[in-house]
Amino acid sequence: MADKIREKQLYEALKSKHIGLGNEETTRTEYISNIKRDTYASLVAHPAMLEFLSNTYNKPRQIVHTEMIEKMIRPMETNK
Amino acid sequence: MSLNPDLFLYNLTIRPSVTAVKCCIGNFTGNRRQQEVVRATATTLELWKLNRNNGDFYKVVAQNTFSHIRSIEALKSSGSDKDLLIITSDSGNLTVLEMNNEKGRFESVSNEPYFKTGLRRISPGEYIAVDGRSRAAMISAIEKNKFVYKFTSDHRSRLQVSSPLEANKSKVLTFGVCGMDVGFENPQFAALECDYSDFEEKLDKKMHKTLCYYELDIGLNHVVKKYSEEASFSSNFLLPLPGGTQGPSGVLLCSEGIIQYKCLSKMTHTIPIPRRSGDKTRSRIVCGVVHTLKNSFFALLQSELGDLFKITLDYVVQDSDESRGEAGMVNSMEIQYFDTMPVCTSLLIFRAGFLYANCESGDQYLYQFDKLGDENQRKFSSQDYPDEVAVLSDETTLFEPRPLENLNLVNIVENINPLIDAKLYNSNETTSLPVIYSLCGTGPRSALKVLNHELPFSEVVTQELPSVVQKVFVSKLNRDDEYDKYIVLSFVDGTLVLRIGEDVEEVENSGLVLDTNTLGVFQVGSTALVQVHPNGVRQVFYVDETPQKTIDWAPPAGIRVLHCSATNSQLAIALSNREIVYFELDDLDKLIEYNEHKELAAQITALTLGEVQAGTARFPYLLVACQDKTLTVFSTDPESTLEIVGEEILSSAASSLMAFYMKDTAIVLNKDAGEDDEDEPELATSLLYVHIGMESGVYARLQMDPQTGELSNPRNKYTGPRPVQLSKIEAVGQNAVCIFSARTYLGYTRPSEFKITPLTKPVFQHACSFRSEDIPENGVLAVYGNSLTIMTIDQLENDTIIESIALRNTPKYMCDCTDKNGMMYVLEGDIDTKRDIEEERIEEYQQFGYPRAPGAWASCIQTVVVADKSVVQTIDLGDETAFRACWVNFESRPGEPFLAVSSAKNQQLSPPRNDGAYIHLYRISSNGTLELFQTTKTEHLSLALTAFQGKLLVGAKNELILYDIGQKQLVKRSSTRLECYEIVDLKTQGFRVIVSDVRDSVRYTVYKPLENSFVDFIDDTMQRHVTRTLLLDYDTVVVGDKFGNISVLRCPEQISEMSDEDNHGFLVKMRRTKLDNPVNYYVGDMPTFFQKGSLTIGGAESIIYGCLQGQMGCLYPMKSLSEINFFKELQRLIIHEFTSLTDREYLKFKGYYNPPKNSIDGDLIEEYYRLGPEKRIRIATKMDRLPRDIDRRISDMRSRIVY
Repeated sequence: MADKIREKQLYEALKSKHIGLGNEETTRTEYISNIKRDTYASLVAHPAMLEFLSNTYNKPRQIVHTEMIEKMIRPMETNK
Repeated sequence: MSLNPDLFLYNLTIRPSVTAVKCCIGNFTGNRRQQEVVRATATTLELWKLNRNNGDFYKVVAQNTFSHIRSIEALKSSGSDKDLLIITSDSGNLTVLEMNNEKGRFESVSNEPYFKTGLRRISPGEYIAVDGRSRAAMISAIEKNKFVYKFTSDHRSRLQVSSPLEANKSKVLTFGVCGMDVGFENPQFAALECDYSDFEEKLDKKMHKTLCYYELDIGLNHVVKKYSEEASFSSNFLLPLPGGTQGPSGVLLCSEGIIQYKCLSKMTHTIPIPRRSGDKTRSRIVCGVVHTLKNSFFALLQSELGDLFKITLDYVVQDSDESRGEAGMVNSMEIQYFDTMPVCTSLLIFRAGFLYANCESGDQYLYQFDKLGDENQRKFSSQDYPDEVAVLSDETTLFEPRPLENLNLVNIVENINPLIDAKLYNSNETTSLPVIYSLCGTGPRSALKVLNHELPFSEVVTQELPSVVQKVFVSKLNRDDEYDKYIVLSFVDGTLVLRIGEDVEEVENSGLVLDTNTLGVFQVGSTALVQVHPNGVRQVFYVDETPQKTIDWAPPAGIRVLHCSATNSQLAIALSNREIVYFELDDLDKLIEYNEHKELAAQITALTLGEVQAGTARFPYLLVACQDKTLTVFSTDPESTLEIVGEEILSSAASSLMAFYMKDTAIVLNKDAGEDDEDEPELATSLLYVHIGMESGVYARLQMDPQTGELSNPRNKYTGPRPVQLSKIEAVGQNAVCIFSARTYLGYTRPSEFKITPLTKPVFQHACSFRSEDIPENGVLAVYGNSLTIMTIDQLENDTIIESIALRNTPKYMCDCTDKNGMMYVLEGDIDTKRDIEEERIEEYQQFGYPRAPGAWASCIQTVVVADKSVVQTIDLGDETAFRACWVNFESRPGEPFLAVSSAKNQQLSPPRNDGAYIHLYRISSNGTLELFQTTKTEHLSLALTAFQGKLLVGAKNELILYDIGQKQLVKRSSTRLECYEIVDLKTQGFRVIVSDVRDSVRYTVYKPLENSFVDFIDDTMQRHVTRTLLLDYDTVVVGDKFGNISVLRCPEQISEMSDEDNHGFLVKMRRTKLDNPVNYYVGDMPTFFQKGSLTIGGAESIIYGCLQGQMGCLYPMKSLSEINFFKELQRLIIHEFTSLTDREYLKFKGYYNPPKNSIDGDLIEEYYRLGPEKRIRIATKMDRLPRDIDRRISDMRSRIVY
């Protein structure tokens, strides 16, 4: 029994360190949120992708950068 | 030679990416009087210099880091004048770089690993914030992690980087970080954050951001979050203000419509961001800069529309006596409209009064400050606005945008980002070089730019002459003359002598032979001229520019002089009886013939002496080329006159020879560009070269050892199908070789390489250097046809001439019909832009941008005539936006070409939605203009169109639809649904259609007339997000994806045959095979253009690609196995020896998405030149070759494919 608790604690510790760590109890929402956040972060971090988006949306790169990170707050919220 | 059965590609970048991630200003070379700019593009660091006198802004160093740069920041070092540079990259290291002035390269001072590699959401490095006194820096990730580093210097004033202190908090997103200037208090950092744990679950809660202040306690060595306060959710930008004795410290927090002054323990001040009158939306700030003057400072902030605002603060100046390092209190803050310029990623102010605007797209600008704001412009003061509500409720914060008043545009650096599409265009004239038409820019500043790889010259004057000039010579009369006196023009049957003075006029009494053509005119001794003509040699002595005495020398009867060469003290001539006659000057400057004529085995085709080094009496060698393809080196030493020193066999007989010193390819960096000191070519860093022009059209350059006469290090270049003539030219302080063939080329030395670039047209027959009172430097006298041109070659840095054809809106797609009717149809569109614009106000729009109109599109189709470089037609599409187009000839309407254009009404981007999609058919008239013929409404927007078997094939969503032309509209003939998401590209050959999907790579389909459907018979194993494709052959396709990979996919032969044989396509479909993937290569930039072609005259055919950020390169298919093995081995060894600046592992970088496969990275291979001698030798030894052999093979490879 003690093992289980220890395991859980270890998992929590690891989860706080490695964002996106999952186990059998991870919900679909949690999983997708994590992927979406990773995606937004990656879009922002790659200069070519950011330029592509800024060009498509016809918005300055700084604004697209901010808006993409803002989307990471509630990634499951559908587009308005 | 055994051939490689598989595809194997060699990549060479011809133009690097130009989009800057970030720029910094500082004294990176340690020259305190001059500031330099470091521009970081996605992978490369560039150092730019400014010439304060003429506003020239030029690149001096470009260094590939072989990693993705995330951010850079300048770091003032306490010990020296030299500023350092902090870089974060995908290597997961914090790298501090220093400029090595001797090598002209950045070198790493410290490389601290702190995180995993890659551009991750929680890997710090997205933001770097340096404390105002450069004592510490905060490196922050997008989510969670923040590290603080301390910088100290040790006793030898070398930088020491501490281990990082963490300030992590889970579920916190960071939007911006800045280092505050708090004088010598504990360093503070301000961060704009959002803790999403508050909002993630509670969807109805109003979101806000937080402004957090972090303090690094230097004594206790830890970081604390000192204070945090709520900020508006629309906040997006932070700008630190000077502190200590220079200012009040604090930050400007910018949100939508509002700028706030924030400082820990000080009052907040709020001002509005003024709006343009007529624009209803509030704007946000996208970039800014603070400039400190002697006793004050100001900030310039740029809004998303490009308007610059000047912000000044009224604060209590603290006397240094009582300040105790604490800055004063702020009374009020003012904002004033300053000027408008295109939106920038970085604004940098030089102390010399220049503003560098690194624009997001297209050209970059350099401005000079005329004044710092004017009194008449309305100011908004924080005293009128007690809080945010007061600001937001004020509707009168308006201004009128106006042309530049405070700034003055002084320089434009042409840029081709974002590159939407391009076309390598080769007009079939022999003298025309391939040019690249590239679609680039955004909004009103978009253009179709024509890139000519040519060196420009500026023409001073052109004079018509009575007949065709064969050669031109320029000479002074006295050895000590500063300027040239005579121009000697040689015609087929005569010679004309002109004097250079106030006017250029004919000389009556020159003493030279005029009734025959001239082979050469040289100034010898102190006051004599030597003229060599077919019938002999004449030496003329001058006193006060009048000939006093002439001495003639004539060859034996029936023998003619063919070639000649001379130095100030020597003369060598070649006779038609295969003999060489050698003369030297005696003490009285008289030519004395060497008693023996040297007879050679074959007819002499060229001979040369060389440039005499200062302090020596003669050039020690005479080089002679003969018809039997030999090149013989004779000694001219008095002890061993005309003895053979060496012999070389050439690939073809030489038609011209030259020998002179050229600058070594090292970089002289720390010369103040602001001062025009005389740029004497330093012979210490020069090397002696023999230049050979061959009858086959090849130009070759060999290095010559002045001591031994040994020739080494050959470099070849094919210049066109004509015998090559050469001449020596002085341009921009260096010796350059002018090469005359199918085109005129100039060979010159650039930092780190020897370059051969074509000169702009016309094609000259001959040219020589020229120096007069009016044109004291860089002057060139050139002849073509019967014209004589005096011109100057003023610069060698910029070897691309860019012509611009202005377009109306951001280009989206180009339908290239140059091979059909010489037209290009460009589809353009801008979202959120007002539709009706006035054509005549285009210049205003280029400065201010188009007016905004949320949700609306401005779109048009423009027809460009490639030959005239002009736009002949603009079709406005109203509320529709054009996306794709293709040329189609319907079988049922022969001889009537159409342009099919897919469009959508009120297209929205995310989620994609529209009020109706259409396919318009435009009839293409004989002059290339378009005329609307019919319109068909379609279910979905079609993002792929192509002509197919006399019909129109359309990819809409995941459906392939075949249309034929009908009476009123298009008629659907067949439709097939595929298992993909969104078709974005179609390529066809025969009945095969290669379908690209937006995120599911490519699949091959074949049309089966019996079934009237498309059979999808093979697809890919990877889900590539395809941007562009190019068919290499029936079975092979090159695919570029959004993440920067270029891959080649190939259908196995067996399946390919099966797909064609099977009449119903059932069997092949059953096989469910996958495409082979013979080549993978990572370019790191989104490919937007592919074409097969060759970039130079006679260059090998390769795949040319272009990418979004302006990178262009080519992939050359290597054929011989031995070559492939050589480069494979070399690449392997270089990877082993090479360390990237940021310590990114090369293979991991190139294998970011897919492991590199069957490809060689020429950019890495060329790093071999720059490896230290030890490493070069080590690699060479392992390969069992000499380093210069390797150099030669690398340079051969380059000259075979590109410039």
